[in-house]
Amino acid sequence: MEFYYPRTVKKTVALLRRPSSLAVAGGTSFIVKPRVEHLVDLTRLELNYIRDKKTEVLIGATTTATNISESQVLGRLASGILRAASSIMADTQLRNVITVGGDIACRYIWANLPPALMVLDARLKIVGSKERVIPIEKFFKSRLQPGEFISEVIVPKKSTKGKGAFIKFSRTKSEYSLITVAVYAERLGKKTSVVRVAVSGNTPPTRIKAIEVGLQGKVITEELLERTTMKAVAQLQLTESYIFSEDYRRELLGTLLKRGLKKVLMGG
Amino acid sequence: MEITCKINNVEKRLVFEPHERLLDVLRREGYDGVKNGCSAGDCGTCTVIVNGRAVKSCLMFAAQAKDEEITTIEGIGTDENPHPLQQTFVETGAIQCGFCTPGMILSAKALLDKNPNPTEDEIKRAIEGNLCRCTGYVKIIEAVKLASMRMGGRRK
Repeated sequence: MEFYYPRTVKKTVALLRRPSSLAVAGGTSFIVKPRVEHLVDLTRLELNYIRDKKTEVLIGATTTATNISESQVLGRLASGILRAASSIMADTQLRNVITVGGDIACRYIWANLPPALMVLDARLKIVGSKERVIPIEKFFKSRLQPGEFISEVIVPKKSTKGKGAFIKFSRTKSEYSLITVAVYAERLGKKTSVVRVAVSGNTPPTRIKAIEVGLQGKVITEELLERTTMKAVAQLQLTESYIFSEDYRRELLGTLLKRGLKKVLMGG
Repeated sequence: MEITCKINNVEKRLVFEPHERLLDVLRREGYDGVKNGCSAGDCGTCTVIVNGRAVKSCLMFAAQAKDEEITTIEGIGTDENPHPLQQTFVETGAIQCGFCTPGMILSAKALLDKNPNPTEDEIKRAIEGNLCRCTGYVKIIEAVKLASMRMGGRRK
């Protein structure tokens, strides 16, 4: 096994393109895999930054959860939904090393940042032999090519003007998230104009379009919210869990979704 | 492989295998105040300070420490001249079996270095990744508050 410290993206891509290589950012998720031979450190590429641009906020891939939770700029977006997600995940020591890129790239079902980024319509800059930008949702429905890695998260400002809510459910505060719920909405007069909902924990990070469509352009009543949410939750395919029954998790997911939606859409 | 880093303000050359964890390498080098508890990032007994931030050395490759500054419990005080946190942990009875103590003190130190006058909630948050199965945490929080006062932080 070898450990590399590339200083340029080009060199990093070349190293990652080799078979049995793995990128290391914070390193917390690493499970020694017998076939990994090349570990490639991404933290010396100067990708630890939060840049406040005119139309978007750029977050470098190796920016830590602590950095995100302390950012004033990100704290102002969508009721501080990214601050909420990054300050409630794991614990202090782990937030000091967990990176936004790693939290996405590892595709863990309990990761807290992906649902929050999904409802903000975030995009990922992926570098490799070519550079491409994809919506974060697409990332979870596709694979990276050999040599590719996430270099930046792009949060468009126009989709962060409304209200947001973030809920992590776990038995103890610093335990893995059993269910994560993120909600974002904008209103135009009495009706909603934009509704975005994402969950993870019971499913890989995913938007719930049935709720979004059901609540978009509507005057929100408790009855509509209840009906739309429960119908969508009943249709979701949940992952297996040997600890919690499916009935319990489905019930819980419905409750947490309604709680998040109420907070954003009905102010309580 | 081989790296250099600063451990407790001393320039060190470390030799290890690329897959080795910082925890194991530090212990082999004689820093056995860094405890091996759960090895899974849950308990916090292996906490060290890297570039001013508390981290868990069991979830870190030694290779990641290249050119970084590390502080272990050995680097913050001596028997004759203990760190204020070490003194107040003893005085308030924040130590029972002692296994969590180095990690607990380093998490508290990382907090006080950045925030000399933390609230109780900020103290709890700073040590949330450190498990103590003896004390019930009350005495530990008391010790951090007392150290904060002695180190010149004003109480709110």
